[in-house]
Amino acid sequence: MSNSIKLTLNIWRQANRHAKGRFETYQPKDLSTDMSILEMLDSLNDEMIAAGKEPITFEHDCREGICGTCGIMINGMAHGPDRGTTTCQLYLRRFKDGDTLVLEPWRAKAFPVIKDLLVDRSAFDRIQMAGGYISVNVGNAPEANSILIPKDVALEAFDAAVCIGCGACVAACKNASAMLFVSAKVGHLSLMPQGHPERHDRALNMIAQMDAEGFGSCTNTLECSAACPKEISPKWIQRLNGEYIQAATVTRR
Amino acid sequence: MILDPRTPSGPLDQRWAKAKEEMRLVGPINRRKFKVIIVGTGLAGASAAASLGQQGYDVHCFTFHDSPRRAHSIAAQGGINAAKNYQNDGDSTWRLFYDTIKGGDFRARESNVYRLAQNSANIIDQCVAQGVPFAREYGGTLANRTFGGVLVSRTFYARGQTGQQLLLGAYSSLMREVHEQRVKLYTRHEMHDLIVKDGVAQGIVTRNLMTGEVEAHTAHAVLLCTGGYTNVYYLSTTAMASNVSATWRAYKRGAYFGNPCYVQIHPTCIPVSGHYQSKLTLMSESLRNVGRIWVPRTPGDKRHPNDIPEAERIYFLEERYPTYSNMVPRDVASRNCKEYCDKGHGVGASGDSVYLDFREAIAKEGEPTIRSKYGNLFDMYHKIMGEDPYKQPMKIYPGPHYVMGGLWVDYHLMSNIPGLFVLGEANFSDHGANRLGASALMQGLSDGYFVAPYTVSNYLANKMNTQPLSASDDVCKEAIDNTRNLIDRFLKAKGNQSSESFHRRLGKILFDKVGISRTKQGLQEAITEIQALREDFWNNVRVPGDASYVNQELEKAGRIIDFIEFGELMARDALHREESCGGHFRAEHQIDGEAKRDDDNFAYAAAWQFNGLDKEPTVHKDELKFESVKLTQRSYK
Amino acid sequence: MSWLTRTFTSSVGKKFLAGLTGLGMFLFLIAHVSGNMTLFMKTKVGQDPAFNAYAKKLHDLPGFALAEALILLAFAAHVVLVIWLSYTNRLARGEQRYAEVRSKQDPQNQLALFASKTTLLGGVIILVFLVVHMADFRMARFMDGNLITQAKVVTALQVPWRAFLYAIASLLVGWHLFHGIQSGFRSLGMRHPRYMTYIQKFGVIAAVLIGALFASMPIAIFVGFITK
Repeated sequence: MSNSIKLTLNIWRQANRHAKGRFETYQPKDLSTDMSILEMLDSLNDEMIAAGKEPITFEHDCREGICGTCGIMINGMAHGPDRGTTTCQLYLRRFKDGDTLVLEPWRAKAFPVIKDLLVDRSAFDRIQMAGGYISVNVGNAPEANSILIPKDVALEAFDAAVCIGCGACVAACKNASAMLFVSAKVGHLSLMPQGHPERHDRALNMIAQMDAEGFGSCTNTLECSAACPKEISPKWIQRLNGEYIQAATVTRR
Repeated sequence: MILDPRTPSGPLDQRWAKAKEEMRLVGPINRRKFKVIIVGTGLAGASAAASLGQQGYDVHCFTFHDSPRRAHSIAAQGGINAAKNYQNDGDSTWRLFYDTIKGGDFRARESNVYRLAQNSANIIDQCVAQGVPFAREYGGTLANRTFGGVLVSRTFYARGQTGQQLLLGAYSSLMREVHEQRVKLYTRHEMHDLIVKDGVAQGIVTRNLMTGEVEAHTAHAVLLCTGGYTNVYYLSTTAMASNVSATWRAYKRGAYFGNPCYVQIHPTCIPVSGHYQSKLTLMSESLRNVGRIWVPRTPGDKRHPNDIPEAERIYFLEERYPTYSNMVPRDVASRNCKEYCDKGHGVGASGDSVYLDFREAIAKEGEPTIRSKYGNLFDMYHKIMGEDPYKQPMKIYPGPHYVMGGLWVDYHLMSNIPGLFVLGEANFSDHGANRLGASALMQGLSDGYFVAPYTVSNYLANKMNTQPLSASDDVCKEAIDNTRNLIDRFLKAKGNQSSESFHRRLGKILFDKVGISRTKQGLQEAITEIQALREDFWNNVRVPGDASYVNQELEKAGRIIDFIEFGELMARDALHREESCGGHFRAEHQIDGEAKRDDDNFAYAAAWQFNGLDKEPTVHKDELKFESVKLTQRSYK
Repeated sequence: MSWLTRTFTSSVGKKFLAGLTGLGMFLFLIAHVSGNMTLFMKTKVGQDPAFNAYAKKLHDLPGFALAEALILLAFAAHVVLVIWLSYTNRLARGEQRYAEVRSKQDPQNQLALFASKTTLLGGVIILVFLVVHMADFRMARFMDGNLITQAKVVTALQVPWRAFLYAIASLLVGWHLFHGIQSGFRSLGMRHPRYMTYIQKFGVIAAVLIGALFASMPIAIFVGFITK
């Protein structure tokens, strides 16, 4: 059942990329336990607009945990305290009356803050561009059932393919490493037979781009996987390590 | 003006092949000289950009998201249809065509729908080649499931995340083209206007959402792949930023809007919990494969669903439609749910929901099987509702999900403005008055991978040796000024209400009066109320901040005023269509509770022409000719 | 850039080398601790302690100098790579740090998490310890060319502060390995979940064992269990 709840929010406010940010404290009115975190921010923003203040900038879109647009560090945890959950799927019933929530943007050199809780994640797109695809032109495809893929292989590839590109792995990693993201991309494509022809270049190029973007490296702390809303396993990172060394030693280039 | 749909003649199954043969081509060395603008990077936009980029055109692709992969196609759950007949259960191109045209209540063009069915098989091939991890059988072949409104298993799926996987496939193809520098990608750029000169679409005006810069981009052709306008209802299953702005502003520049009243209300959404709710979450139609829909026999029965014995439940879809039972098309299911809720059988806090029960399926197939097929949906439901659907039935509620209406296009997917192509949900073309499940993904990809590459080339071949319009041309300046003036008007508004509050109010008017069931009186009221809302908006809205940097309130205000203006057109279209068909149900026109079409007077697509905001639009009729199918009363009994 | 530099200056390449050198030193530690266990053997009257004989045999092995050089090289590479990686990792967060950080891992992983977060710190302390350790037992050979003997070891570790330091450092080596072993295997690309479970268990057992055995020596000497 719906109940009212009172929360104190410490929210990171930052005017632009170069401005110095700071925390500001808010106590939104009329919160209900059935509200999502983002609905709470909507409601706070409505209040602020009515009061003539500048509302809080935060990104969101589908609000059902699939588009990967939202992402807030809540009390020091990417997407909040629950496992396998995006920020938009986190409801206030998860908190206790009187709690204080600290809301911060993802912090990484490769994800510069644009405004308030909004960060620039275009680094992920550039990593994808570097090799996160199978080069097949439209019209070139063979009959779908001519490529047989064992069920367990398809299922395993799917486990990596569910990555929503939200960046929680980077946010949660103590090294701001993007290895879970990159490994999910490489893992999905290299596991499928269609992705084999380019697997070496893919691993090499995507890692090179990841390094160029200024992400950290993996120290196997496994925090990324715990923060991942799609619970992508750290085994993909290990797989990528192997894939990369194999590619580096046998590639024909 | 007489609308020319440019439908080819001849036998239905040879029309597309013939049309392709007759199309003009551009040679590989000349393609780079043609600039093509694509707006939107969902399934239609990303696939069109990738295809045209591969052919060698100078493609410029715009999205208002931070990444092309965020487009709302990502949220499609259930699957994608294709007439592969892998299950040997009698499927064929003809049957997919027939199911789709019947599902659309005979309000779509035969030629378009047949082409869609023909392309469907190629789409699966293409997606598999891109590495989309579709569900498979143990032998390694592709698996299928059943969707509503059909009697065969032709839906390909990737757990409950088919849209995500297909979009990531199209996105990866697009990013490859960006890497190869055949496509230039503009992220966080929102289209604000269409540039039309001499009656031909020549470019767009965009606002850079980061810097606030308003610029004109010109090209030989413009493709709008900007999705549907379902979010006009505020509470819908579409993403928060989904909007009508691109198509609406093209409409205001002369493009005709086709069938704006055709909206799909999906029966299985998670119910609304309070006034603050921002979004509806869909529970995939595929759940109706295993779930049974029921309400308590006694109105107002407040017992826990697990305590209501079998004899005191009405499985109303099974009773009324024995052949299709729970798998009737969405419009039929929604209408029946509403009917029982209106009679007082509804459940949940506000009595507007029905149960979707998995008890039997779990008992029969076992929880692990159900979990492996639908686990993510069950988890999603659990998170939102705080109730475990493995232990008790889901409560579901009909919510706006998709729109069949959109900009009017001909067989080439070109609007009445030459050079303006419209793909995917943004156009009105293939689904008639109701869309069958798992057909939206099919249409977006068919348009982008297999139709636009031919028809756009054909158009460009006639533009040989022409340059794109100069960005300093007067029409570009005028369009830029038009955008800047609108932005100024928002920023100068002196009210104290957020634009979102107006969106909520608009949504309520539309859902109540232009929703599942519509009446003449309700629609007339809706028009008046929306007009009043528009005035109220300008008097009372506040858009804080300025236009020189990120300003999400400014972005929202633009989208919401377009929705308000558009809502009126929706109501007008619904009012003019004095019949019931598919998702458009006029209470005055029914037969035994089913939609009653008027084929003599309304077998046409309505294409609306803009005449100014305070003037009535003109309707043009694109007559639908049925040569291959017989018009029948749609029956799922 | 040649493939070699390109590979081993990339983050994954560096991690691979850090893992490889780390695991190399893990093997060295196994040998080191096993050999040193001879300290516990009873010395018969009139005979040289077993430890002295072991030391003699070890140093007479063909290629001993090469092995020692390799270990030094691996050690140096490990330290340089890890410092390099840690430096870039620190930069990767950006100038503004989080106001608050909490883990989302399961409670049973918290020990492993703590180990992983303190591996670097442990390593730095071990590095400092090794300076003392080398000065105590390795430099002598440079000075007078004489091999280490049980008598020298016992004399040195009877000094309370040194016994204490050695015991603590031994435990820190164990702590470093607690995360280091499995992390090294991960960096080498070991991925099969089935084997990974074994490796994790093996890593923990080996780390505890090596730490405890090393620590047992200064303690045994200090309490007088091992004598000259």
